[in-house]
Amino acid sequence: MFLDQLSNGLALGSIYALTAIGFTMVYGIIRLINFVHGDIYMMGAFFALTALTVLGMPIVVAFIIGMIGSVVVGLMIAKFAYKPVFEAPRINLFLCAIGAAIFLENYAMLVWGPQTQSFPDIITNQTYNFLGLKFTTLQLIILATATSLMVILTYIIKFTKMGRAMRCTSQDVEAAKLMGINTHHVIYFTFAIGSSLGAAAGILVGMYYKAVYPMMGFTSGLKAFVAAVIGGIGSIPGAMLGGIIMGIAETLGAAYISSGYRDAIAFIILIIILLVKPSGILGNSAKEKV
Amino acid sequence: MKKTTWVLIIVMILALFTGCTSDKDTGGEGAKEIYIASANPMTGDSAQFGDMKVKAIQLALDEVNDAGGINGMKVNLLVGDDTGNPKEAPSVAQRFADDKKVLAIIGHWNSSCTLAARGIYNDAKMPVITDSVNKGITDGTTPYVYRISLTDTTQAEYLAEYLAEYAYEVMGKRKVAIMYTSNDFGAGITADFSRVFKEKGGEVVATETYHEGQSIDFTPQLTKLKNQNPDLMFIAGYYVETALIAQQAQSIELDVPMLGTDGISSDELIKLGGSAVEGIAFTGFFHPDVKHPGTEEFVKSFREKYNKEPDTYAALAYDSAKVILKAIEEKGATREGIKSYLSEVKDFPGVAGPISFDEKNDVTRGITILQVKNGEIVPAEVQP
Repeated sequence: MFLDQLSNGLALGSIYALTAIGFTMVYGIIRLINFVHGDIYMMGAFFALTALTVLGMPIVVAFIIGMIGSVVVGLMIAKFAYKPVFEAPRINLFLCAIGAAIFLENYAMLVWGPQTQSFPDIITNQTYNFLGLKFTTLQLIILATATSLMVILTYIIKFTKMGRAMRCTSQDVEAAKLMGINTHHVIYFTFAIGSSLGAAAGILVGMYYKAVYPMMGFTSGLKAFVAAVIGGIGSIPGAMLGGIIMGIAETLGAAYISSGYRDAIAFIILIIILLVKPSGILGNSAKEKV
Repeated sequence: MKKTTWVLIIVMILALFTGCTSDKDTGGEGAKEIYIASANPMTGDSAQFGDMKVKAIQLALDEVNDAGGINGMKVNLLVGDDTGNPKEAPSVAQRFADDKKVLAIIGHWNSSCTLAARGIYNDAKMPVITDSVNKGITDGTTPYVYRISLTDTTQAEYLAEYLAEYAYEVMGKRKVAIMYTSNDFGAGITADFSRVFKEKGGEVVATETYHEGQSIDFTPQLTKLKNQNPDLMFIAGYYVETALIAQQAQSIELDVPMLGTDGISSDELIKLGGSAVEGIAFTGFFHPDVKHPGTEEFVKSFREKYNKEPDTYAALAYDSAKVILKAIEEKGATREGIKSYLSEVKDFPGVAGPISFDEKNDVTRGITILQVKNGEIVPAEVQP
């Protein structure tokens, strides 16, 4: 039973991790708690589903369409909702994010209807057994995607020119601008990547649970936020770690304490970690120099 | 700057006056037009149910209006949205209760919403026909609230009776595991189900819960249930979660027969659940193949108008609208008139069976056990 529950937890955790990576990246660069991330994730799932069922495209193409569609939506939100208030205090930006999230949820209800739609069976699931831990094909794909995205993103941010520009912008937008960095490009680039990551997560989760619905991003967005904070918001490996911890804690909590309290358990862990290490497990606790 | 402020104030005052006049106008036209309201979830997790209900009510109104209305008066539908949230329901209720032209309410769908709103309707002497199942709704304190579906208790007893027969005599099963949604509906039906099932001599080996709309991962609960080796799983929830539970049960190899409630009586269950929901049995009040007077015509015109199969909630909403329209025709277009008709109606010919309300305002009607077979909902072979 314990090993069964542990594999359930790992599967759930890798889903949280996948969602949290895009979330934490946007925060790391722009210092914006991007509450629209969950809804971009939902839009991605719907775009892919439409491409798959209505246009009859193969899964790989549908996946790419989902990501591209979400990037477009993400960029439009950045342009119309974030850009006008970018110089204003952060709270305005944050409120715009919530507004954009509500807009997207209702937009999806209008276009695709409020009901839950089923995602067709694409991948034949096989169960693999590692040392008593059971995984299905799709769980492994999700885990592998999360891990490889973590590695690729870390590489982009740490070692490429764009990544250096992103880090500069995250430290000080004005100074970065004076140094000749096109900060607008950097910000849009960040949103584009963040949105495509969100879409990838949404499509995979839609495939995993075989269900896509307009409100699917809400709780996922919240959980991704918690996972990102646990791991240290802004840190990409931290998001991965935070997601896995959350998934396992929730599952084991539901299994051994009470299934009614599973969400409470996730949030209790958040409180404990914030009390012990306010910047999160892998968070950067260095003070900013003034 | 000051000028603009003044202009704004004047415009606002004018707007207020116009508001008053238009109100009076509709009041004057009240003689020619009749308004009833739907207070159901139109957005949020339960939106699909509200959508079906509104479609069915609109169908009933269209039929009456096409035939010239009630005594020459056109009937209109106002649609409120409680979002399935008991925090929103009272504000929707208050708005309709204060609106003198609204004569009756059909809704709310969620038990929690009806419980939250019923006091407001009752104070405004507004007749309400709900299809929520929590038995607390008709505890006698709100005489204006009527229920057109059976209570969770009746359902649970009925289901348990069925279970007792089906499980003991046909299949020889007596260990049930329960998964329920943690709201008034799920908790109520689970309590009664467990009681009746234990009285029959069965054993409830495990009870697990989930929060609707919070998580769609049920594997921890299901793994726990599986470890108790049940030979039957009872799911007290709605169809989205039930479909996902069935799928996840299949993937962790928890392979037992499943029973559900009328909350899953929808074709969407099969669309979402696929092969995983094959064989699941549940209670229903309505099935196109179980014919009552008008059932065939209703199913046909619903299909024609919306290109969709009507479900139980659509049928009940259609019947609710028909009863209210009949009441207006018989007793006049007042809230009191509708209420007095509802209190004395006997065997009104509904498409989901004859409708009468007992002294507690609960409907008296039979249940059919439905089952998913070869990807279709059909009446079960063994009816209790």
